Amino acid sequence: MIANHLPRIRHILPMASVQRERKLDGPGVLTVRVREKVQSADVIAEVQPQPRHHFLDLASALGVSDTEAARLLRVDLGSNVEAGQVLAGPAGIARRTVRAPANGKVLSLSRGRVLFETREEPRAIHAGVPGEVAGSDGASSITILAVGALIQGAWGNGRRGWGVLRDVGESRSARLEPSELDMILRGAMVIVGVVDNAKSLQQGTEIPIRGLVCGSMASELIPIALHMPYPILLTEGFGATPMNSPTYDLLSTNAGREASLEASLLEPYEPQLPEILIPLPATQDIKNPERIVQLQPGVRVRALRAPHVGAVGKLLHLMPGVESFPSGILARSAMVELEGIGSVAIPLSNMEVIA
Amino acid sequence: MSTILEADTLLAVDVGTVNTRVSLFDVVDGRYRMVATGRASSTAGAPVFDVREGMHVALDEVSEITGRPFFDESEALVMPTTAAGAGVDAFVSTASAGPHVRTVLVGLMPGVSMDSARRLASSTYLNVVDEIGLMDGRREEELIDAILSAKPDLILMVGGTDGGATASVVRQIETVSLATSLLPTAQRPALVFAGNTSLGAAVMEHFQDTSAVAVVANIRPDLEHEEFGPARLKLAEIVNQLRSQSIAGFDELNGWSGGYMMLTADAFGRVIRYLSQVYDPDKGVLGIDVGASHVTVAAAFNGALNNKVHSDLGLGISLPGLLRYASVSDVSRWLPAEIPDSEVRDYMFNKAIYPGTIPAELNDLHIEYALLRELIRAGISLSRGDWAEGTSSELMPPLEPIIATGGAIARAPRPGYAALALLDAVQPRGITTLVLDPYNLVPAVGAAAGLLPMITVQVLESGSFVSLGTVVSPVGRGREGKPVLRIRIDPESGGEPIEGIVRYGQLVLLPLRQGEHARMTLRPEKGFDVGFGGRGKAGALRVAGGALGVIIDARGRPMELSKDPARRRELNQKWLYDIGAMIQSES
Repeated sequence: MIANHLPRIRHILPMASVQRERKLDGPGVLTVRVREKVQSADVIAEVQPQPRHHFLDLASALGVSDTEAARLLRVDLGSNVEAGQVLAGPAGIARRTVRAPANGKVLSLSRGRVLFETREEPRAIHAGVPGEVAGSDGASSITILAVGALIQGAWGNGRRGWGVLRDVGESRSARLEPSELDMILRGAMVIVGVVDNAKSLQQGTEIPIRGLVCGSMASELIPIALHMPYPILLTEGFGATPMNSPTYDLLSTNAGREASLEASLLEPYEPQLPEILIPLPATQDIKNPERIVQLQPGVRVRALRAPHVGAVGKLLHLMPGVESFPSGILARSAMVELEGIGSVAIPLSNMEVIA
Repeated sequence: MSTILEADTLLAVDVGTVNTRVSLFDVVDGRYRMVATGRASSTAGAPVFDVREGMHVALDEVSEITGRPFFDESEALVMPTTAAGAGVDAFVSTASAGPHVRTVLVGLMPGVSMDSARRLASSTYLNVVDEIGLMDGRREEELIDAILSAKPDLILMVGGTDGGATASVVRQIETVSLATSLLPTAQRPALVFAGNTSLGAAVMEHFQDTSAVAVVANIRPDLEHEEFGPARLKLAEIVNQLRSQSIAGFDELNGWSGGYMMLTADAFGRVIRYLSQVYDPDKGVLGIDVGASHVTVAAAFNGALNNKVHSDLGLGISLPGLLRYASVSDVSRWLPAEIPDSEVRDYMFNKAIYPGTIPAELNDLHIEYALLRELIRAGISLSRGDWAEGTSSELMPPLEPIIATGGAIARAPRPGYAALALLDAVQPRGITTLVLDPYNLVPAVGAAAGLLPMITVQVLESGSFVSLGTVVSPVGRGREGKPVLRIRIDPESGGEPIEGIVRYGQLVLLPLRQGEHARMTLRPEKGFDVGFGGRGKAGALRVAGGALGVIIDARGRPMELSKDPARRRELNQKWLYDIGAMIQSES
């Protein structure tokens, strides 16, 4: 029997082929070509930061009319100019001129004023994952094809990074103590069960670590986590839920390998979810992550809510009709054999398929 | 058969952020009835980004119930109904799912056009990311940079009453025009001008080399009036266009709807306004829709609608936004059990990650309903300033009825949960009726009202909506246990009359089943007003029964919760028992 229900999907795949798009958030240049191999740290594009604009009142600075100011403009509209370069003039006995206040561009002239755009140093966009450039629109977007273990998470602090995976607590429920973050973890991507201490997060900046992958974190730490310079990814959510076992197993067995961490913010209409990619040599058994999976006996599921939040198991069968739960709520449900717990009924809404 | 359109069957689809609902209406005994409904997870967001997947699953459920196929072999909707009974005669759709529309408001005076623009923006799914007004202290170049860094999807320009200011408006238009000209063509926002009508041609001219601008009727034609109709239609069109650009399937739904796919909030507001024209003219109608991404509060008084969509409130992805208006302890004060604030806070952020999940444990249910109360309170508090009835009083204006919908309300394990949450959150005064829309039919009938005008009233009068009961909430304060009013209920069915005294602090249910009517006589004590013309004034009226009968809420208006946490929890639990939400085996 297949449920008339579209479950959430969480990808925890030991070997997968994924395409990740890098979009420029402003004008810039792409520095790689299609089919080029890239490493996580490679710069694949340079993007111009949001420019600043200034009106320069030529007419008033030169002491001339608007029309005369237009005649005295010495540069073409749209052209790049260097700081100090004469933009207009000379005018009058004092031979007054107007010079560019910074490197930039003269965009327009109206009523004796020019609109001047200042340029700042371009910002580098890194590949973030090792792989091959699979596609590009030639202007603002690059797609990288990567192969490796893929683990999707639940929440991220909006940062991206890469580093060598290190399992600190050696258990999926281990709490991260500030004292555990010592110099040996410098540059590491730290794996831990639970974070409930602001000092632990701050200690991570002092080492510094390159990223933090934890099962869950106290929600009161969100404002601090959002300000950390390194990526933080939660696999379960907020509270003290241990990391789910398939994720922990995959991460801990790959300890010592480099991983890319995309700790994307929660944006329901953005395609990028928080994820970890551990690059691995391609094998025969590569899966493309599925977008839709049917809920049916045999699929692996993870419980999303109490009383078994985070527990993983196998769906045994879909239950006919609706089940009543301790809250009194009636819901379509499935019987699931949860690891270490046994058979329990879980509302279909409260489970996601691990695929 | 219906009036305007020759249609017996109507299919309505509402695409929400978490759920997609499909409802099939048919004519039964000459009146429209909802005959089947289906629900599925919405697929507007990641990873599917195609609303049709969720819609098909929900439709399959309706097909299974009714045996009616809706699509032909080429997956096209069969319309009108075939002789074999396949398809439907009419189709309507509504949607609230989709990314927020980043909007910059440009206007003149803070108390005039800018206020109107804010009101218009908050009546639909816009997310205002910046405002540029005449009193803006920023230099022109800073305004240009502000527009560019806001990355708006839409710039809504207003200002100048008709025949009023032009020069200031034109200066602002020039700034917007210059800023948009600096953006690559593909990133230019939609532009709407809804200001001084005499500037329409000039506005078009300013943008002719950069972007297309829609000029619609002035939303503030003079100082005393607002006219949102044409601007709202244009904004709805833009919201739908922007959704279609990022999510597949909306175009198809819009096509099946004859190009009139509505925003859920607009359809919801249409019904609330209609009801305010047909119910008691001395009272307003209040509609509350608590979704995962939005809380919509629609209040209408004699046909004057105020509809507010709060995109930073909701029982899902938007839930953390509640912390801007309420603290975690504000939420916790409604709990009947001791649950640490840290747990409530974690719950809020987890619900934002997993908005489609439901509370299976009792404590989770308590947290969810405490959150529901604060979401409704915040939504009403943010909306009330613009209600036609004004906000001079701390008390709610007289309302009849109060209609509530949304996933959490719909799945209340017992009607008492929903009723108590509404009573605590809204704190109605006098006499009113609480109505639940468990199948989220209000948007459907609102969207259908244009095609089939009779459907609204016929479906509302059918059993698809749940009347929780008539509520009597005496206004006044007293001492715990002191009499508040004497009540007598004489059932029209001829049963035994019910008589009694209700005391301060009590929440009392008196039996009167759904569909039954009775004459209710109320004699309030001197300090209490039940809406019969002042404190201590008695009166009688005909009332309808409901799922809970007649509810007497004598907990005082405004209601004050105990400052002692243990006593507060004890009372919260007692009220749950009193209203039938919990039974003795639960705690």
